[in-house]
Amino acid sequence: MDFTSYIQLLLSGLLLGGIYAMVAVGLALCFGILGLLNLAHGAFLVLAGFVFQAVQGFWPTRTLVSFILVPLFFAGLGWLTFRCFLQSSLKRSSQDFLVPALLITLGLAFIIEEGTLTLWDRSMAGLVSQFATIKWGHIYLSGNRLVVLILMLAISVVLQIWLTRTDSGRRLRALSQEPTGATLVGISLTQETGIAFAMATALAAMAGLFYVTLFTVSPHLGLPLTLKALFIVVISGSGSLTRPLAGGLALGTLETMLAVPFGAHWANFLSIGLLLAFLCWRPQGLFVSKRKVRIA
Amino acid sequence: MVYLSVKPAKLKRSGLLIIPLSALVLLLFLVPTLWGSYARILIFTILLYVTLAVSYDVVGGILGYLYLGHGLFFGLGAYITALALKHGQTLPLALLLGASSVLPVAALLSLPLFRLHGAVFALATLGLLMLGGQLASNLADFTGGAAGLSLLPNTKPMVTYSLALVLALAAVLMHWLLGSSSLGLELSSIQESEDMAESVGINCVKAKRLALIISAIPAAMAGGLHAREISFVIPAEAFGLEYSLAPLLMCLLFKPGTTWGPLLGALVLSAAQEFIWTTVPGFRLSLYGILLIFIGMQRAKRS
Repeated sequence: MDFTSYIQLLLSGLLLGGIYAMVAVGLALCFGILGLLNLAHGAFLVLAGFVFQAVQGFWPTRTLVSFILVPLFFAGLGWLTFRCFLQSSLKRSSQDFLVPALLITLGLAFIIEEGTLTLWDRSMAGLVSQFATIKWGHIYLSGNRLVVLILMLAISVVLQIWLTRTDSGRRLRALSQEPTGATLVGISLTQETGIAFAMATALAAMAGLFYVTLFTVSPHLGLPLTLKALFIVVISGSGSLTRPLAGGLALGTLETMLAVPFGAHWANFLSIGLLLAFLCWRPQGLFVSKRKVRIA
Repeated sequence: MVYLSVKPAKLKRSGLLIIPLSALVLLLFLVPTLWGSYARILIFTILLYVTLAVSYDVVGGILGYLYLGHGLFFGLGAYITALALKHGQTLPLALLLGASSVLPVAALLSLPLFRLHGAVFALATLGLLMLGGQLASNLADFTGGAAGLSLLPNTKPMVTYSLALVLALAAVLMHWLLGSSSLGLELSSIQESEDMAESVGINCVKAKRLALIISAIPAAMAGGLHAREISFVIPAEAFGLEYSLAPLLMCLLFKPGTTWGPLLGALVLSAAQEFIWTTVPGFRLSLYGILLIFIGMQRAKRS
């Protein structure tokens, strides 16, 4: 393989990794920080992809508007989901809450998946290119992909700033570090978790928009994607957003690279197998010392 | 087999049950001749679900782990049995082959899997299920890939039916005996507190490994019978979520850890499935979804 195709491969790997990273960051926001497991994350992503396509068909010229409106709508949907299904049981410690949350969100994932299947009749969503292709030497990069890559980076920077510099982000981090203490000084666990869940759902929706821009999306994509991203979150340990981000980028790149010698099917097999091996080797996370409390 | 010994008192107490039970078994054997092939297929499916639910309960109920990988053993059993049948083996031999090849898989997988607990364990077993499906569609030379593997039509439906009945009975009996055997008691003490169980000298690793093997073998045989009955195996179905989730729901619906709980759950849920899937189209997954949400919220309230 010559150098330029290597670079080309690396770029498409980074894009797939960017999707994984966005999904993983959204999950990490809930699971890694607040111990709230969400298996319906991928289902929201897929639903957002289909909704976006429907909005596009309805209102073709305003791509940017739907890029803002769809995530906002999903933030509301996420908040509502949290209120209806998850909030009532959040008062316990996060240890006891993981398994019920897993069951509830898995159920939600099924309902959303079947809803998407029924509404859009098993079709695959995909979006035609919006921007011109950029040619640089022998390396081609479609404009869509470049815009997506830039947007993804911008979103993760904004998220990081929100988490470290704003009051809302500080409250969230306080809850993750010391739930009892944080509640004692007047931080509402349900309210903050609701906000985090809504943000995570909006992130899933954005990842869904990017996904339809880059690839095609089908209703069955949700759960495998969620599972891979969740493995990344567990492996990278709790309490961080940058490690899942890096993990997602690394997994996407690795999967794309492995697809060259082994084919896409075996690449997928190998990536799930590798994640499972890491998970069983260090269940408490790769970067966490054994003495720290494990989250599961 | 001291490990699996049962107190004779329990056997004596339940002696009276034998008469109605044998009447029921006789009736079930006569179902196909009395009511025709629709009843046979319906009861066959219910019997498979009973097998799956009761064997799931060994890990999901008695041991109390949330476990989403039961379908992995179902799928493996289905594929191995189908391959053996394709190469001209008889059905009993093919089923035994399926069951015996699942044994080392379960034993090996138990080592890394039981390092995990709670939700991460559940996620890892779900990952294993997906890995199994991917493997079945990747090894296209053996398994026919994603398009599946088709067998010659089932010429002896009565044999498959009787085997399913025997398998379901054996699974229920095994579960019932396990409940009061020393292994069953060890497993329920692990459920209550693993550290405590370890400290009174229970070999937790060994007990959990045995539990996984005991639960995997009936699942593999159910998979093999299913493959024979419909004469067709496809990764999306054999390794689909349905055969992991249905036993989980059947087990958790009533009282997990008892024999009657998963048994009743299997009867109720498979009857409900049959009713809903034939009346409301496009409602396969949502039924599971609603039940999962219901059980999850119930669980959150209780803990």
